[in-house]
Amino acid sequence: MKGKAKWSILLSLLLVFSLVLAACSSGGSSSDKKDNKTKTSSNDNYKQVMNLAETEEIPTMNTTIADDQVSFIVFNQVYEGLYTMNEKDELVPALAVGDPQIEKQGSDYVYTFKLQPNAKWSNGDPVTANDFVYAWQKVVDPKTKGASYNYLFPTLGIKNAQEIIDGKMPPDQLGVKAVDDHTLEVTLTKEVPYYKSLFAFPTFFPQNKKFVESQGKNYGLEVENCVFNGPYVLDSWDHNEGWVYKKNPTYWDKDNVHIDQINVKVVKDLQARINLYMGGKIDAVGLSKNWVAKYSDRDDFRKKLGTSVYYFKFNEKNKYLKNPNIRKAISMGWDRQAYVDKLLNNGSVVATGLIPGGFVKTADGKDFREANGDLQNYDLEKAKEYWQKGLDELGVKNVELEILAYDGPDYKQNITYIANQLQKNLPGLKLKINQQEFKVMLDLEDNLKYDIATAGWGPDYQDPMTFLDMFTTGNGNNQMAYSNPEYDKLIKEAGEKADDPAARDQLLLQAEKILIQDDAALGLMYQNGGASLVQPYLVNFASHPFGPDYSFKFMSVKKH
Amino acid sequence: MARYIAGRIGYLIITLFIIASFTFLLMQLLPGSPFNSEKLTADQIQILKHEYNLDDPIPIQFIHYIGGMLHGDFGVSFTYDGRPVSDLIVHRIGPSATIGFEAVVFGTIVGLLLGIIAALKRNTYIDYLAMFIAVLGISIPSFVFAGLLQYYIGVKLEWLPIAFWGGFKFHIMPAFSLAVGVIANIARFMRTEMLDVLGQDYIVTATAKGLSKASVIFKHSVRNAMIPIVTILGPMVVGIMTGSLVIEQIFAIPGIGDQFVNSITKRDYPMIMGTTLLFSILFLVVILIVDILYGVIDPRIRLGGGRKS
Repeated sequence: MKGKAKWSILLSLLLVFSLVLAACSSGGSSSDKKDNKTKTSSNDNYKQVMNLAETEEIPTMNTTIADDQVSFIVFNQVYEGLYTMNEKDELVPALAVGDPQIEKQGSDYVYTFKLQPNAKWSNGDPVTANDFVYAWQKVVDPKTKGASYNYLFPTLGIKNAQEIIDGKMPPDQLGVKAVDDHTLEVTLTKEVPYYKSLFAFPTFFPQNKKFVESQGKNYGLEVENCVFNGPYVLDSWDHNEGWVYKKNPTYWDKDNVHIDQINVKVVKDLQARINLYMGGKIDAVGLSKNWVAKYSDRDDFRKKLGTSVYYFKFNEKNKYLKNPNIRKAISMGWDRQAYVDKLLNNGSVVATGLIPGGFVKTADGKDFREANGDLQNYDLEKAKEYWQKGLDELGVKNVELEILAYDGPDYKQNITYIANQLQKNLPGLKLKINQQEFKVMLDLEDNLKYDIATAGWGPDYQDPMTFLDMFTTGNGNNQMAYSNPEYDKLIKEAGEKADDPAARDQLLLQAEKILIQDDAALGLMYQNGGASLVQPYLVNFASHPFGPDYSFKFMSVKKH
Repeated sequence: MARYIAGRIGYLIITLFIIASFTFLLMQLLPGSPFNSEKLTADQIQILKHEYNLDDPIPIQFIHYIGGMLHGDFGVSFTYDGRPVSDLIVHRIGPSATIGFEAVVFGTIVGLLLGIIAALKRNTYIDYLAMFIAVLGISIPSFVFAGLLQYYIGVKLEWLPIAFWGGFKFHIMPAFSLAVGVIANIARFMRTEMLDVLGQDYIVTATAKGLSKASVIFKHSVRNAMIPIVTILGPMVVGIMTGSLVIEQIFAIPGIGDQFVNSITKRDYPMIMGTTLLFSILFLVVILIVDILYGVIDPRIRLGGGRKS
């Protein structure tokens, strides 16, 4: 009896553990084989191997529906479209051979591309013009669920794209045709100066029809449900843990691909990524502002200006914000330089226009930002003047507004700084901060249930239009009831006028001036920057200004 | 006994149904929708909603969901395109459960020992040391331990891998970080209970009878002190084995911890239901097991009001 007692304690404990374990341990742990992979970057054996950390699991491997940065980065390595961006951020031919032949037919422009004759999918199938036709028709087909980037097709002016998206025409009417296996004919309703940057975007990549259809619902779920045509293939993919790229042996330009293998691990914690970098397990790591001061003296520290612009959206349904003087006062009434230097401190700069600096040039070779000058600045005197004028016009003494902001780390401090400055500088202004999750923010913006919202935008292609066309009357991204017929007219004209780049530039420059300077429809904040630590033996490891962030094809590893 | 268990399982199913209904309703009341995005047009969102039956009235949606669930179909994730929720959970629970199990076993054993020793050596420096460790363990959050371990043992000393998932050596730091809280909790409870039991008359009797010290401690004291421990251990096991968001992120473990939080912020409805049901089922089952265990540890506790047994 007494002997049994001792055992029963042990037994009962064991029972708890084993039952719980039995209930939930069907996953099984991964094997030890991964130990080898993490050791590849040891100092003495130099290999063309790169180790990176990514912050998220790959959400999808399907180019037609992807809408996130992680997926786009992966696509840019394992798939390929007509053009791609090289290490100097120039658009160079990929599947296209050289430039297309452009021919005017009636009011349309027909672009004829010759395709690489040796391009193959990783299952041995040739990459043909039909693969483009298949993928593109899927993107614009309204039945395709979640093709969130399909608006790029009408933006590019591909014939009938908008009609198909609106369900007024069948997808096979899209202005794209396979003349033969290696000749692709694309019909545009206008001549588009930025066509190469769009054709380098993953939404315009081809898909292997036979393979995709044979996979059905499983397409893209695992490595064996994917087929690749890029410089790399996905060799393995452990969900939520990481993936491995290997050089694609069937790639047509494989002689110009240097790195043999890239190991990517999903590491969501920044401190952990920094520790892994310091321990030599990964070769590059992005830093947040808290780390910049600590590491800015290191040789491997880098700062780079990005091309995303952040701003306040003013909801003009609000009775106060309807007044342009109030908007001007708020956009000029706080010190952006101090904000960028002290609070962000990561290479970001003050935004003085909606189009970021260093992003696109005008026809005469000037940077668009410089060409249009500073459209908004911190100017306390003027801000106070506008403020008083606005208050007088409205006949009020006090204005109470709410700022809608994202509920992430650092955001509270940043937004409180701006709110405090504004309240101090503009007498009678009271600001409340409303921090919300991203999905809730979008919902409130969609329904115009906010006063002022913080927002940002990164370009989809290399043209001012990617920023400017959002704010035309009724545009889905103009969730602030902004409407100026003159602005609409300028954007419409610029959209149609492609034959005269200089004249088009004038229209866009003027449109930006109206939006930012005259109407103060947006209150500009900053143009993003990024600080990072990168091992000096990585050659050409730098992010692109738009589209997918990286092209591993043009990188290599130096002896170290 | 069998009848009692059958009855409890019946209640368990009803409870689950109620939890599922409430979660389903609350989830739909969350502001924002899974398809809010800067790029999708209203038409496209409508198509998506239709595709996932989200345009039906909520009761119909609920019937669809329960219907699917009975066939083992928990829907597909909205965040990870086309991936079934059941696959995601099965794939991710492994690593979480593994380190959780290791943490609970290690933490319980160490915690019990610390608690027993502290009680036996009451008011000596051993007691103080043990309780000092326990207080540290409770007041310092596990991610601080994790960060310190990762930096000193992983980066500086290079004794163990800094992060990632693999063989046993990859488990040590995350499991230890999780175990710290378990050790602290168990040790404090065990000390209190042991002191309580040691003061009882039957312990004095046992000692007076001339039983050996070991016999008094293990057969009479520890066993009686175990009952409250089993009570707290059950929910603790479920909590730890379903993953920790922070620990898994710090050590880059491909577990399920983050899905409990991220599925909600991303409005991934099927995933919210999946994780909630997973947690509820485990929790209810563990509570049932704990209730059964009471009877095993202390035969005076009778279940189900049975007259015999």
